[in-house]
Amino acid sequence: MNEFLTYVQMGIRHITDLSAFDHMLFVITLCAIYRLGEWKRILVLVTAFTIGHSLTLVLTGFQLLSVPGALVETLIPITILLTALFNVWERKPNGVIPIRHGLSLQYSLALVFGLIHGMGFANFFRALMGEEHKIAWPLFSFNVGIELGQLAIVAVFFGIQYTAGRFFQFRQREWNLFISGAGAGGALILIIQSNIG
Amino acid sequence: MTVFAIQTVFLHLTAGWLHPPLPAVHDFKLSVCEIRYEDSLHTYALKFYLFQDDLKAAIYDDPTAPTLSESDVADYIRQHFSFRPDGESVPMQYESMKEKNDQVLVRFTVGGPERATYRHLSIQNTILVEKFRQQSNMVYLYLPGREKATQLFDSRRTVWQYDL
Repeated sequence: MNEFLTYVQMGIRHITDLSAFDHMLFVITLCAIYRLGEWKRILVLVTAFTIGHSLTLVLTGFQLLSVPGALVETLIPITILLTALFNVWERKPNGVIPIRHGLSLQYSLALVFGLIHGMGFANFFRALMGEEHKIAWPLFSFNVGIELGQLAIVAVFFGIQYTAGRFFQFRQREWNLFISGAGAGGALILIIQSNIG
Repeated sequence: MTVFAIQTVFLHLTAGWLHPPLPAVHDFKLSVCEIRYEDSLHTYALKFYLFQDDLKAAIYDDPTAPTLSESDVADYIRQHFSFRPDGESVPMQYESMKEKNDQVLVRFTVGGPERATYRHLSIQNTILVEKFRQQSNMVYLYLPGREKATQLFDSRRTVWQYDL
């Protein structure tokens, strides 16, 4: 198989893996506060996350940065929990985040939390490469796969939100609380399991 | 609203604990194999990188088993990985096993006539696929004078034909 496509495939598989859903849960929780109509803000948010994780994926991939895997795996569910808490506590009158208050904070959080998730992606990438030292092209291809997987998650999430909204007529606030609750619950379980055994 | 949020979290927590145990970390179901042909020795050197807990789960049905026996690992790999030049079955000679953090590095060699005498190479890789549905096995093939070849194996793709 073409090398580029192989690493793209691995990137997609890594972020969309249903049996290890930490990254996916984060992306979903990050988007919970938005409606499909706010696509420009979603785009900025996802881009902020992308910049963050691409930066640490490259730095860790080239071994310019090294953080213990166990620490990264503990920090990742904490990013999900904090994002869920932000979603619940952030005031959103008329279902829209006021730009001056929460929006720039959420972009900043997406960027910073992206840095942590990037280290998680890099741990997988290093394991994938064995002892290979020429990693620039595989790293680029793997990151493309991560982005495609991330976009697929966002697309499916908003597709479900739109469809469910038409059938159940829920308000955005209730949807946000339900999804953020799932994010917080899942994150708490991951935190407890990673610290208890 | 806050009450609803708290109820939602507890609902998901309860559902989470009723569900089969979630992985505590992002559990990689992955193995890597590097194959390098050494012209001077007419030998293929094979290196396998495997996660210890996955191997223990597959061999002993217990990911927390205290140790991994070299002979058990060698036998397991031989049963799940085959290397056939022109369809010919060639023995994989076990060389060594070394622990590296949470992985093991297992080395084999495959001897035989010069590479030029063969036209195709057939590799079958079903390592850990029977145990983990999401298992991915990456194989890198390094041949002198050629670009590195890469192949991903999983439950759907277990055989690779390569033109030498």
